[in-house]
Amino acid sequence: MKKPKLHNKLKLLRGETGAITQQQLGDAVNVSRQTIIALESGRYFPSLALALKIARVFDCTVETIFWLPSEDK
Amino acid sequence: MFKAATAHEKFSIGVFVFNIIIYIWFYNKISSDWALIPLGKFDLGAILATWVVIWVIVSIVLAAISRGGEKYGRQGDLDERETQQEVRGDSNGYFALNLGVGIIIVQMLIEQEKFSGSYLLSTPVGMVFALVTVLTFAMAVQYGSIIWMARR
Repeated sequence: MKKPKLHNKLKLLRGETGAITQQQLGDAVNVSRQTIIALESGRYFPSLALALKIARVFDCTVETIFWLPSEDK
Repeated sequence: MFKAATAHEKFSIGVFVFNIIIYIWFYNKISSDWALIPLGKFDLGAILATWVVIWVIVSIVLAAISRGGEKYGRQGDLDERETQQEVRGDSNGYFALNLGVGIIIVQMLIEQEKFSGSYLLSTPVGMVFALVTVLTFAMAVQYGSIIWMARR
């Protein structure tokens, strides 16, 4: 089975929201900086709880941050 | 590379490396010229006890060092990505352990017939050698998987 892809604009949002660092975001959602790096590069898919926590930090919906490519159903 | 690693990764790297080092020490103690030495029960027990004690001490030291004042990655306080790595590592390690035990069983069955080599498992030294080798292999697979998943 083909591994699904999950796009995100975490890096962009971090820059927009007063330049929050990876460490600060990690601290805010209780994960390590390495996990934020893995999320941003698309190497790791977050759990629903983590995605919701991140969305809460940026005060937006989960779909604003994470989305599937159009070909994935 | 090591600086950017979480405490969990550092601990895994430490265990992986030490696992190989202590196996080399163990192998040198029980073998000579690529054959097992027929050690007495006392000598064999002393080597095995030393192996266990060193492991306990090193695990404690590695856990303490790898924490290094970091907020995350403490053993028992892993984030969800590290927990996932741990689960996959355990699964791979368990598979390796099964494989090792299977090989030992086949080896023992073959010995009953005509197999003769330097690594006969029917002697006490052979049994301890097989046990430690399989444990080392399983741990190498387990922690190797964790490191690979964290680094890829």
